[in-house]
Amino acid sequence: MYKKILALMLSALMVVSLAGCSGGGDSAETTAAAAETTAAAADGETAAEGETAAAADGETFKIGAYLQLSGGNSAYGVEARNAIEIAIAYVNENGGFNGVPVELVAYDTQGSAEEAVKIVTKLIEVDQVDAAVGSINSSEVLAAAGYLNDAGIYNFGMGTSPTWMEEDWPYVFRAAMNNGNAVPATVELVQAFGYTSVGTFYGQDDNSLTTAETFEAACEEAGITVTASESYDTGDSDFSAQVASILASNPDCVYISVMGEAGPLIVQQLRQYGYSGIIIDKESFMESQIDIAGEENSDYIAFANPYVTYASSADCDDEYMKSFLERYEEAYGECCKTDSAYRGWDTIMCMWEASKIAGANDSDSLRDATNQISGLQGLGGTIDFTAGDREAYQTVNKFILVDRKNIPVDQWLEDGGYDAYKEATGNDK
Amino acid sequence: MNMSVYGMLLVSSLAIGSIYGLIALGYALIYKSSGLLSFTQGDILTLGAYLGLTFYSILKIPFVISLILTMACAFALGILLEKGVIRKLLNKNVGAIYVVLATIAISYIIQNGSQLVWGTIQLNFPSVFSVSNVNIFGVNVRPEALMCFIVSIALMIVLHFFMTKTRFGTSMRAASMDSMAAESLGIDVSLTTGVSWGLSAGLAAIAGMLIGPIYGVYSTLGSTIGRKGFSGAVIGGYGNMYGAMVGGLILGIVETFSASLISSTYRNLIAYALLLIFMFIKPTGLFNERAIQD
Amino acid sequence: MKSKTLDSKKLIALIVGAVVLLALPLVLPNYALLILSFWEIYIIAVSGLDLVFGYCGQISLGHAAFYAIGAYGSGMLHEYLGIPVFFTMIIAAFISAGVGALIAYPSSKLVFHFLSLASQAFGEIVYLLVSHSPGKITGNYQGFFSDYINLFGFELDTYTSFYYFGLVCVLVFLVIKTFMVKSKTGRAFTAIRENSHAADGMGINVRKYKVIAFTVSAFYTAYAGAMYLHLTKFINPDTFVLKQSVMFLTMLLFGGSGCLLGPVLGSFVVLLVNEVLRALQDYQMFVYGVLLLIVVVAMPGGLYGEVMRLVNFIKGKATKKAEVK
Repeated sequence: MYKKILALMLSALMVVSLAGCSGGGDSAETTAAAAETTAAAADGETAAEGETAAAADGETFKIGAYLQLSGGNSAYGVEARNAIEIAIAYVNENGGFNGVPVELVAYDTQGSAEEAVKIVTKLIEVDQVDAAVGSINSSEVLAAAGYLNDAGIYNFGMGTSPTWMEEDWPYVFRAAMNNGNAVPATVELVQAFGYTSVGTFYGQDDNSLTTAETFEAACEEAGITVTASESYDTGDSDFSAQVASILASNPDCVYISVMGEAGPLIVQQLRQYGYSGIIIDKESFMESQIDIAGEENSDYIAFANPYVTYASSADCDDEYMKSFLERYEEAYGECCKTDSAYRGWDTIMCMWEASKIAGANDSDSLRDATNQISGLQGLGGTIDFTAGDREAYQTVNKFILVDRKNIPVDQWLEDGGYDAYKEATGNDK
Repeated sequence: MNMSVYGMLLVSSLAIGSIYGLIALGYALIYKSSGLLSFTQGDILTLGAYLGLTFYSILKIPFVISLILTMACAFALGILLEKGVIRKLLNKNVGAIYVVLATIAISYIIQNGSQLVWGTIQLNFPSVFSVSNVNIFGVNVRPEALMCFIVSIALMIVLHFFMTKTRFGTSMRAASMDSMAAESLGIDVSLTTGVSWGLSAGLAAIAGMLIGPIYGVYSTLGSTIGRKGFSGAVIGGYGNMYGAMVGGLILGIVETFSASLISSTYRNLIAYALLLIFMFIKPTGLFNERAIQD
Repeated sequence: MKSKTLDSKKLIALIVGAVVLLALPLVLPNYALLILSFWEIYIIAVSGLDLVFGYCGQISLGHAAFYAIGAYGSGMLHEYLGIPVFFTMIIAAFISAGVGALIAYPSSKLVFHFLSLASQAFGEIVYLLVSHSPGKITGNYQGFFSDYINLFGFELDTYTSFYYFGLVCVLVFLVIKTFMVKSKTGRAFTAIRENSHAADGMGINVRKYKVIAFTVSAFYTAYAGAMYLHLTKFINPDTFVLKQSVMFLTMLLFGGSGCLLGPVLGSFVVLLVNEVLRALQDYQMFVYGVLLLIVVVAMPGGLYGEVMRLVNFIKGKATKKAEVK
């Protein structure tokens, strides 16, 4: 008797909740969409005339986002989402995608591949997004982007690892740098200072590990000796053992391929253990990291990256970047501290450009149009997809961080920066 | 490697080891007073670091007063946890697993809540001392690292005297040995248990404030430390106060030196491997605390 | 007479239930089928945990490790030895059962709390091994790709086919579980759960049965892990952390432990709650923690217990009403 009632209740509960799941989700969705549309419609009135018609239809271009918004390293995901939101607001102010207002649906992956898979399936099936933007964590893109590709949905990933772009996914693009592509430039940096040996320190996460391996292989090819190769795990905070081992091997310089919270601590502990030489970073050493590491410890960090971060928009000379930073500051009260915000903005701008070239908003047209984008202004310089590798940035810039300023390395060397460095630190290398 | 590097490694390992020790000490207090495990210690450490940062860096309160304020807040939180959640569960006479799960839920709440309050970005805890390095016997030492070790040992000593020399400490010990007998002697066991939880939360919060200036403050700061603290507690003998501190320090030293001398790849495995080895081979720990077996 | 009518009613209920379950793919979208497929996976994993915890009274905070051994074991057997996927799942589950026995033997003398610490440490060790494997045979943090399940030439490459396959698996595992708990072994489990000293006095070899419970449980959870790998075709170590073990435990306690339907109900509700909370973005995990705490404090009997209470309550009212009339 009990069992029967229980079974009945169970099935009832199941049906109700399943209905609630899709139904409830949908209704929430539609109200959100409705709110969005009214906002967009209001915007539309101030924008071009023709757009209001589309907005009034209630038709929107839905972009789904799967991002890590909680847990370790979630700062990157949150800043990327912030930037995507202001980018979408900007697009909507200026006519949307071919007159259709853009709407964002974002979910938290919690840093888990399983969640990422569920989320993209939900984005595809339930939210029925027109396009998608992927996580800052390359491992999540690796887990999820294949589903979007198989569903024929136009999407971008924002992780910088080489791994997921090696898959044959024609619908998947990237408007951020490829750490693997930056490696040759990083090796050139080592050579520019005349160094012949390097100690490497890398994280065990996908991105840091892959980049460090590429770097070590490239060093070997260029005749640079890797004197020590040490690693750490995400979540570690004491790196003294590894730092001591690297310094004991007495390299000309230290290369770090690290992510998130660990970066500044490693720099700080390297300096603490008496290393005053040049540190080569796999990417820019960001504002948030300088705060933690301390300004004096952050001197002489060299890196190859499309862009750098700024303490505030006032410090920025680049006009396009400055306008973005001002927009960000206006929306969130402070400047973005990581470059993941840049990736979010660039991604939406690439999608927008593709919609303009295509003149249509379906995934196939957008995909084909993206491959034709060239000469588009991005935050890290000129965006060019015509190489056909689905990567936006083909070139990177080399910088060195001195006195909290990112100076182009060529200029620094020309201005006698290297001699000044030797004098200031007492190093002969 | 020259000797001064070993000296520096030793200071680093003692600093992180004493933090493991403080966490393990909290586990010991909780276990002694209520026979339970708490999975929130690591996250209270995080919360302590955030609170300390708020008092010291944002409200500009002097460090020592910030430390006391942080400790007081955490103490109150610990008592609240015991009275509001743990006691309620125990009164319902449910399995101990519910207590474990409740502390895990609280740990999720603190970790994600602090992220919502203080943001996702790693925050800088300004240094406490005006000098960034002091030189002791030719070894370059960060004063904050030294402070970690000294304050932890001092806390251990204060706790020792509190437990053995004060009336309240004695009743806490009596209550943990035999709560029924203690109750019949007029000891307020409910109070002593609450204070034990409060003290362990306070210790974790202080630990957070001590390492904040060294590692910066972020929402997952205490997660790994909290888990490794268990290892320290088991090495010393689970439930033994002195064992907890010694176990924590040993863990810090073994971890750092093996990573430096052998390999850093499996650095984090050492803590858990040590935990299992001690449990299977020497379950009473270094201080022969009989708690673990049937 | 009465029992006969009950039986026929039961039969009808069963048939209706089976038809509903079989018909679901016809009406549900792919996304719901993915969630249902995960439900099947979790039913098996959590049922395994239930054998250890619900029946034998032994806690484990390290079941993510068995989940990992199943997933990586199956994937690696297929990748490096070329064994067809379905067989790799079974072999991996047996390997996991062996590991379970190995770890259970020394652990069996530990009392409750310390078993949870030891199992947690075991979970961390397996996580660190699959994420730092020598020669990157597990793909480490870069992740591991694998193939769909291949059943004698028929590839389960849609959620619908996986759902049906999973349905059969769930049925088989639940039937085995039912037989097991009703057997002598199951009675020994319960005796150990109720009082291990008394069980010992009754001549039950406590250690042996604890090891058996862990072994079978490891088999269940590992098989579920292998199903997970071949459903999503990609795994990385971040799935196999403490959070996953806690998730299993939450599902079990939520549904109610020590019964057949507990894991079925619990895993469904927890999965559903997670899906519904998704819209909260950054607040999702925070709210999840709050809900978990409320549930633990307010209804420690699990959902099953609450439902039974409600049923009794309604029944009580009904009889009262009948009496009044």
